[in-house]
Amino acid sequence: MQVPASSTKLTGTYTGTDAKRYVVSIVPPVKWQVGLNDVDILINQMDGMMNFPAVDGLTIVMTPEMPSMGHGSPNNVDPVSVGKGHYKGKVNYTMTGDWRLHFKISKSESVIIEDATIDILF
Amino acid sequence: MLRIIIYLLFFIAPIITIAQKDSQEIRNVMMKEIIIQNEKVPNNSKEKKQPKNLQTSTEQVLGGIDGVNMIRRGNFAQEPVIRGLNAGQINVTIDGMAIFGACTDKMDPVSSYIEPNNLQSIVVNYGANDMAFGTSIGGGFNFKIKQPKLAAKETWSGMAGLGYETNGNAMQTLGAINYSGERLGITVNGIFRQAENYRAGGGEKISFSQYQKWNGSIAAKYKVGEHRFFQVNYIQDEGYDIGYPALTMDVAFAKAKIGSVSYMYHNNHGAIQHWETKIFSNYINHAMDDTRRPKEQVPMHMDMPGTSRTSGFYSELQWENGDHQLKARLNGFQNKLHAEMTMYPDNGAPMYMLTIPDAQRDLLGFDISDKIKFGGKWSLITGGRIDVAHSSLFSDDGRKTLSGMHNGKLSKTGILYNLYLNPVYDLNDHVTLYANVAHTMRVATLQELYGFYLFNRTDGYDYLGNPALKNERSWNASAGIIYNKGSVKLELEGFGYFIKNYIAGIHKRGYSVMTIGALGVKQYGNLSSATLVGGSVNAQWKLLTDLVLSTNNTYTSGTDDQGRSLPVMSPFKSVNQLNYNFKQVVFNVTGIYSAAQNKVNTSFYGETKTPAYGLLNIRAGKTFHINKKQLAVNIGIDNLLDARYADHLDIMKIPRPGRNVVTHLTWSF
Repeated sequence: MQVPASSTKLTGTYTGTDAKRYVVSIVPPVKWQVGLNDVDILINQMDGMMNFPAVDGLTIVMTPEMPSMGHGSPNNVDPVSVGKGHYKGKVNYTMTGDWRLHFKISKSESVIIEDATIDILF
Repeated sequence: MLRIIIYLLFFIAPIITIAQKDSQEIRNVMMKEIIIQNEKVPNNSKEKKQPKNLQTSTEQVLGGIDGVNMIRRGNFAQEPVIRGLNAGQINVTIDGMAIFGACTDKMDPVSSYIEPNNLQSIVVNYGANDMAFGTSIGGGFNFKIKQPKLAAKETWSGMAGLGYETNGNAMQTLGAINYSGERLGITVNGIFRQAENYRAGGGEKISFSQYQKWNGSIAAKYKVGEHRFFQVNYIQDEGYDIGYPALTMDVAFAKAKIGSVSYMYHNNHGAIQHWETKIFSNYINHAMDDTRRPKEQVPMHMDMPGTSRTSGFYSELQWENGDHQLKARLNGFQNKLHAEMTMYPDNGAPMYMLTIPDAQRDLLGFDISDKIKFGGKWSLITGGRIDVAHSSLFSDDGRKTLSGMHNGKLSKTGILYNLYLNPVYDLNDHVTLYANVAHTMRVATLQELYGFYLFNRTDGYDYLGNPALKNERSWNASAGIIYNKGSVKLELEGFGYFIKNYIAGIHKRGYSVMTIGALGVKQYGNLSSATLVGGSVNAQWKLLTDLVLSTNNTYTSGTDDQGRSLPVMSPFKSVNQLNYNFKQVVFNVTGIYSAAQNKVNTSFYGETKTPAYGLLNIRAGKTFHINKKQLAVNIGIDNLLDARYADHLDIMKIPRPGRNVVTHLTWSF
């Protein structure tokens, strides 16, 4: 299967409504598979050029989507904060192909990032 | 062991008291045997003789049976429904062999892989009885393969036929050769069928309704010793370029390989009359195709292949013990289904998924039955069956696919038991009364347990399997009366199915659809109950020796626990025939009327109402005898009035064929 390099995007930078800059990344597993997968999200704040402190205690709502089909998948588990900036949950891939993970990130009940995205191809 | 079995039977039917020696003609009222090619008509069924016309398709033969209606997705491979029950609710076997279609969209019912040319007869079971080869709620079909003859009058015999139908330029070419020696008999047959797009009544051409297929079969029987025979059967059936106008995809190919080896002991005069042990294996390979559809009909190109592999055995013993005709059978099979889909978006990587994630069924069953005649007026067929069914996923990929869908165990084992009692009472020489009471069960199909986003065209939903499904069970009851005096024969029958844990698709909110354009996602679940009732009135009137009028009328109606009308229920249907034999030319005029079906539930089952229709078919046939050979000529016009119509069971209500002039020539030697 030909894999276009542009289909994978493992990290992104977003400005939150609290005017802070956040880096949302995924720690990819060795191999994605069809079905339920562990998902490990890392969130850091961009504090200057050299300082990226981990951010804990955020709330994440994760919605997977297949952009070429327009559908999602059921029974995903939203990542929850486990410390050191990591958030662990589960993603359900019903098939192989291009998947986009959408993250809606909140801090103390107010949404700071509406739609952070990670693109995965396997 | 034998003693225990007999003891058990007495336990099931404790009313056996007086018995009579004359146990030959015990009428089985729960089945009909439709003879395709055999000299003698069995006397133990509600017999029905079908003209020896092997150009007719298996589906046409099935559709002509009382109480049987066909679901159409195209002009090929229609799916049979018996009294409103179909698919996993009925049991379909070929010569007792378990076999399952491979297509996730029900494009290949088992009946599409067998030709009348292969067959001796078709047994239709309207419920549990001693002729069934498996557990089911709604009876089923067994296609009996034509057996080679030993020590026939002619060592070599054969047949060649040619058929042409004007609608869709349909053609059939077929042939058969039989060798009959003292110890060895061989029969070989083949057929090729081809049709272009047909025209509906009024002239509209139905695109993507073409098909072509061939089927070949060989059977050999060898007499090993006195009463002992060895038999080998092989059928290969391959269809190509088959259009399904009611669906979004066609079929590139549909191939079946069906083989068996059996050992038989047969002795009409011994205590053990028949003992047959068979091992079998079959393989179905099916591939859907959307490459011939216009671009605007195909939002995304997909490949959807599927396979079905079944292997198994049965051993069946029939014996007489005093006044009892007993039959015991042990059978087992393993079926493996694999179906996958690869989608190719214009922008993006191909997507691959398993739609039947490598599902497997292992089943072991034992059944025993007894036919008893007693008191001169009573006869009884009774029996029972027990099955152990294990369902599982046989690959790691399959289990992974469902890992995100279901909590709990994916595999399951279930025990199913069926019991039936079919008494017949001859009130006098002209009137016979009969009844059937049965407890039946069926295990959910592998699609219902493990299907993964299977699209159902009728309601437009993607379907998910449910490994937690309970077995469907039913109490079946029927009663009938047969009146036969002089030139008049009248049959009345009423029946009811009281089903528990009825399996249906239940809307799953919050799930996003997989199929582009689907309305939502449903998952199979158990409704607490469903009830199905119906009846039939059949009459035959011999006006003159050569002039016979007959009428067959059937009605079925079903509702679920919420009072919603069940799907695939045929409305009132009346088939009326006039047969006239004039100077050895046989004429047949058939009028068919189907009432409108307004008992539908669109919101839950997705069905829509269907208007009434009427049809008129005429046929004439003559057999010419030339030098001890025979040439049979059959000419007919189906849908003489060119009515534009669709049956209630037709998916998307694509109109059925309009006027069709049918010519069949058969040369027998």
